[in-house]
Amino acid sequence: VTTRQAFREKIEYQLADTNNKIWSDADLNAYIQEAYSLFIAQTGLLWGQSYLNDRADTAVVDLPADFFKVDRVLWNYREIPELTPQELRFRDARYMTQTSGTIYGYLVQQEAKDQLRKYPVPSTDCPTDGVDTRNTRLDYFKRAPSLASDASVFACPDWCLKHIRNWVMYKAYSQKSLGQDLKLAGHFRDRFSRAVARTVRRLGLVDNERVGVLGGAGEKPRAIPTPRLPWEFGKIVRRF
Amino acid sequence: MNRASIRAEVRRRLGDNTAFWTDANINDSINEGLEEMAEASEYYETSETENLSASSPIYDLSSLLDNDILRVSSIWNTQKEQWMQPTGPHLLNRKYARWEAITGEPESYYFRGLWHLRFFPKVAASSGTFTVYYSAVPPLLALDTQSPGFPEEYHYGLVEYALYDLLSQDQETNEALLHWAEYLGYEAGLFRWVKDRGNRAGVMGDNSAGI
Repeated sequence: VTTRQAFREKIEYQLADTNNKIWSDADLNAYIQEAYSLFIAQTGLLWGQSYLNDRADTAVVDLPADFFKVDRVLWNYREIPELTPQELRFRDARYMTQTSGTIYGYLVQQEAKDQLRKYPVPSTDCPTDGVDTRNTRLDYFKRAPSLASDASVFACPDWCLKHIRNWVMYKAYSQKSLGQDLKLAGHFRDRFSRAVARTVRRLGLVDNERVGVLGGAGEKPRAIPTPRLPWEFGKIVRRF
Repeated sequence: MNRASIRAEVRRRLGDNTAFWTDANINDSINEGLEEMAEASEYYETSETENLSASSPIYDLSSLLDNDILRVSSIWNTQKEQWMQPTGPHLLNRKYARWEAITGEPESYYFRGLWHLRFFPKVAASSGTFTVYYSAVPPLLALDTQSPGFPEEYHYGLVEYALYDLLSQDQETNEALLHWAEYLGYEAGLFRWVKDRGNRAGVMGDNSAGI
């Protein structure tokens, strides 16, 4: 477990500026937070689950504070699709007030960035909070936690810190100062990009290791079989 | 080469007769190079057996495994004595809309993030085990007598990385980048060795080694 202070001191040593003659602690803390957030957002390294417990007549719910991106939304163990306001306006003009005991989909567009709308509006409370049965669950990718103080620790493993440091080095060396070195700055930026690409590739490799059957093509993911509008519904169709 | 001889070689190439760089400085750079080479080549492979649990369908491998995991390559079901198949939620959705509610002996798995492992089906009772085969960051070289766990031919990659790291700290930019380029050569060599150290290249129709 590495604290922000220990990490920053290591960077200051690397920059040969342990007395903060060129780069202040505040500068480096800002670069560290930027690098940390960027690395976690680009790699999808942190993931979590949260129950958006159903409440009667409440469609819009707050997302977790560390929410970054939806992985899946489930209702009663079943994955439900993301719907767009355009789709829903054609499907159900009163979608914001329509109630039901079953949730068919969710919207994030046209809602506040930290909120999600269930469709239709739940007509009843879920039987038990924090349980999948007749309840909504969110699987999501997390954003990097804020490193608010020197005692804050990183949520990623130590091998990631080297990559985060590379972004900090890039920012520090490109800052207008006595220590500016644009060649090294570019080098450290390249190293960061390389590490992100490598991490993303590695995380995606598990799927590629699926054992193929001779003569059979791999199964390709496709939309789950939920009820959908007719293909040309509400769309302009070109006729010849 | 052990850590002491790698460090001596770094010092010799730096022409550092006055011990401008401390042993601790150089050891840190060597270990960082080791971590970088491990991440790039995934040469350090190991396995661990863990218990199946009914309390949660998600296994957080960061708290279960002893090493800093890089990637899981395969998982063995010890009850069924068979390899589990990698899968994904989209594939499972096609077969069973409510697959998360199904219980049974695990047959397939998928990952979310770096550590979160999920089996399908999930177990109904906490009994049995599974074995995870994975690549990891190796333990760092803590003693002068310890050696990296890959062939000596590539140990010079650690020398080059340490030179790059130390010279970049000194803002000797051009020299540092020269050693970085040298290091990349060793890193690529180790990567190829990890993939091709068997005889796959000799199998008809397999030209993965580029021969």
